[in-house]
Amino acid sequence: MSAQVPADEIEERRRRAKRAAVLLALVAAAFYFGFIILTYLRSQH
Amino acid sequence: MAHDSQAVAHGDTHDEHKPHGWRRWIFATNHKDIGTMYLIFSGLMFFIGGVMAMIIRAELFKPGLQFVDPQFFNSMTTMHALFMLFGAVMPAWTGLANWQIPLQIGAPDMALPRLNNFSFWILPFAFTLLFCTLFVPGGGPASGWTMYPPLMLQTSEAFPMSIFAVHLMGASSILGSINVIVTIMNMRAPGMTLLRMPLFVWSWLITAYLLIAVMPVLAGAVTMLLTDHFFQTTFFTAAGGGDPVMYQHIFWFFGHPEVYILILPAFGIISEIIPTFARKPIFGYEAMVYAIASIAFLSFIVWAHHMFTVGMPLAGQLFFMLSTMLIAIPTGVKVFNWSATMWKGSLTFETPMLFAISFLFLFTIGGFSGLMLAIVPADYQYHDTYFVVAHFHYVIVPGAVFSILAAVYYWLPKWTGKMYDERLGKTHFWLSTIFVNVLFFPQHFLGLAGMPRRIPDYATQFTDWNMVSSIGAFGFGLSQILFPYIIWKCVKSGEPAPARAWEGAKGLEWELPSPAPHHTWEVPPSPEVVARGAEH
Repeated sequence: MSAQVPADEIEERRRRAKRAAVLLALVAAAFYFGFIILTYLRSQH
Repeated sequence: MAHDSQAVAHGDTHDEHKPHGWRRWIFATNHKDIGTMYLIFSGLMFFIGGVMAMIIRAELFKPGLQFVDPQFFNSMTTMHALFMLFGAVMPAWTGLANWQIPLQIGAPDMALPRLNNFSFWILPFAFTLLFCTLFVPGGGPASGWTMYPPLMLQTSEAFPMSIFAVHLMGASSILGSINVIVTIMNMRAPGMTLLRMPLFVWSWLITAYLLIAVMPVLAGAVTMLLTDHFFQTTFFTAAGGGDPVMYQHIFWFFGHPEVYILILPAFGIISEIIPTFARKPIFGYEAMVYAIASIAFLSFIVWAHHMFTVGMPLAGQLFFMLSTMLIAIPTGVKVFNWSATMWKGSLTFETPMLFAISFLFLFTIGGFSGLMLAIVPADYQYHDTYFVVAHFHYVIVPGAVFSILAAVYYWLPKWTGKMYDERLGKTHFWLSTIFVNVLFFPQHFLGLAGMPRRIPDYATQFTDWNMVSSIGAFGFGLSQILFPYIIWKCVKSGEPAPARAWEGAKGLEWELPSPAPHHTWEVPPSPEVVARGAEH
């Protein structure tokens, strides 16, 4: 009892996975640089 | 039967495709192999961190300096924390995620297998580097796992090594989390809707989002420490206009969610085990999902409860006190639902269930002492005492560590195709449960009596409970040696395990043969099989 997944759907899934991974990496980078900038701005006060 | 088709599809064909020798592990992209490596690595770190704990407790067995100098003692407290949190508990969760998430959602592997390999292999380098700091002039980092400046900035040659090691650990966690989220969001079998996913998968999905938000914050904080030390920036140096208290805010913005990162997957594990051995569906599945999500959200707005004694406006104290207390509500929902799941169930008490019940009681003790610490005026007394050490260790050891042990006992038959020795498993459980309480419960008394944490020597009135605590530590440490022996015995000579190793087990992983073939769910399970596995 199993379900076949069409090839084009697998390809689309692969694309979505790559897009999501890049997006999440950008979110992580935003937190990294965001907090450094925040601290820099505070140290200017 | 689905597992029959899996056996035919995989056991007799693709299973032989697995690489052999060292290449299988160095170039591993199979989620089971990588999961196994994570778990073995975690076990190794657990024993190294455990030896450090034994050194700490041996030194504290009686007042006065016995075995180590204060600098080395402080290095031990710092390294013990880093090894246990980042080396033992977090990799254990990632190992369990690697093994179980694809099996439970009907996916053939993790979405990004090469990234998966990379995120594992970063870790041995990170921890070798960190361990080597003990051998450089000046010794290892000794400022505690919080690495507060200006104390951390006084670390000698170990400083850049420690900072780089922390960066590597963070990178590994972020990459692992990206993989978990992408896998869960994109690789689920047809019919495996979000609200059909096992609670372990849910708990990991939420944990992974937490990790992506907060690990970069830690990385940013230690990067700024690095530039303060080497490039004359003054992020945290008051003399140059910087603010050391800002570091504490940033650290705890990471550090409090980090504690939930360590415990949320445990909630998922317990939510798998209790229904299996109560032979009942989990009580309030959706409430459990929302409770985990609420706890994760609240973890972002409570960080300054670690800093009440630093000083903050009254409004800030009230906000952080009340928001911290709010966490008791979703946590209470979970404890109630686990208890309600057991209510009138056909309970049996195999080793995973024993660890789960022990978790329920002892984690709740850790939760209650957390509530005590949330109260500002009380925290003024408890802050930086052994009460905090007791609280934290009740959450992490019988909380996270017991859940990991429970998970390994629970899924070992699926991984190895063999049953472990139940008598030895129960012996391991009873020794662990008795000694963990002998070890940590007296630390509440020590803290309430005013014994500060992170000191190698203490006033004589604290001697008795320190002796009891150290005896508990030695007993707990020794009893953990049973665990690798039980696994070794299981692999070598265990009784063959059926596909559904536990009578009451539900979920897609139990539709597969035991041991799970090297490649699984290359053909996704049908919606009927998914529906059967997701009866909760």
